[in-house]
Amino acid sequence: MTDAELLDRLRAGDHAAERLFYERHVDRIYRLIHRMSGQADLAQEWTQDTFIRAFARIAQFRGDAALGSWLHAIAVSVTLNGLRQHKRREARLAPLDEATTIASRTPEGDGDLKTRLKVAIGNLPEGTRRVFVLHDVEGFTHEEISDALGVAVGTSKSQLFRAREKLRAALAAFAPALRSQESA
Amino acid sequence: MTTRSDAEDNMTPLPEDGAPLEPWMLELANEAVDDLDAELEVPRAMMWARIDRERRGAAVAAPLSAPVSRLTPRLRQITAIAAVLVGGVAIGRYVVPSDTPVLVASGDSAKTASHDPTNDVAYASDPAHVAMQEHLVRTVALLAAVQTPNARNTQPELVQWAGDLLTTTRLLIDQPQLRDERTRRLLQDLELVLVQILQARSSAPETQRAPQETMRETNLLTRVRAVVTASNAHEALTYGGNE
Repeated sequence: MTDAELLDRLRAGDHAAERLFYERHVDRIYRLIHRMSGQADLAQEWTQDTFIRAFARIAQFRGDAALGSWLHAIAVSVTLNGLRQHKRREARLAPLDEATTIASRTPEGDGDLKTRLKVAIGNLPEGTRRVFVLHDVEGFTHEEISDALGVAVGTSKSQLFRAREKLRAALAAFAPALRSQESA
Repeated sequence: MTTRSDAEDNMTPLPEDGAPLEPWMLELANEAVDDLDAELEVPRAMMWARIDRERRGAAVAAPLSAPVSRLTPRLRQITAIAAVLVGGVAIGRYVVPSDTPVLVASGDSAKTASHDPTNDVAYASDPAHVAMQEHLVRTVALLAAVQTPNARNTQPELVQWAGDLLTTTRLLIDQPQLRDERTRRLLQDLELVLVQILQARSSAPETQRAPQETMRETNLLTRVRAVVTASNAHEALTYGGNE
């Protein structure tokens, strides 16, 4: 079923179409929100809110963007609002610098480039990793990250700086070989 | 909120975020993040159950919730308090404190070790907690019946039973005394299962299986039993129980 057909059925309130729409997009939306929130329970709650809001507002969707992009925008909005409220509730939010380092999920010293990068990203302190993912992978600005995570813009910048330095260091050994491959 | 980093940032020039990663690094980083996320387990069924409840359950549960929702917040609060008080009175033998409840508990040094009897009295005599315990005791029986492998969730008596419990569950969810995270989640999971039992009148097999699936995913019966057991232990310690 194409997006256009799916959209028609969603607008008609077709429950089966809602389930299909959910199945198509839920993994990506959940992982996006998990990246932003860093917590599984929040990701779960806000993923649900995202779909509920999308279904409630499907009549307002004009179709000038892809359905997936529209849903992505809703997810970002829900998550940023949720983070702001959560931040107010959780006044005890740990400073990013003191965030714990999550354990690496792949063995250290693996020669594979991507594996090495995965280890490096996985080994970043959680706050640093969130800033890196939100800025460099998801494309948020420092101001948006500052607002969402409740840290100063300068803190967000310094976290990103550290993340990039660590990732560069992790990949330094590969850089010359790759550059020569690219120039060949 | 001012973090240690914020304070440092205020004292020193703001560090910039440095040069962007080289394109090949950024591309690899994107792939690596995707790979890391791929290891995340997405609780699809559980999330859908709650979305489904919002989309379809409202219509099913509307007759049950409508009288409550038409009340003003003040009247709703009064109704809720009245409901928990009725529940408390119904099991008054637990809530009427003896002359020396604390002494009874304190007299047993083994039981009172690492225990503050003042808290026990406050907990056990709080109408909301008492009503919740009484409610959960009744809920265990329904959940056990639903969890039975051959249970037919569409049986009229189960549906009626779930409807009654759903009303009380929603009243309890609104109680400010029951807003701690663990209790809130327990009551919300219970509410979901009860709504799913009501919805199981639908002929769709996945809808009929939903209560058991949610109970399994949320480990609901075990959690409810744990709260009931813990509450019973509280009362036994506070009032000497039936020993």
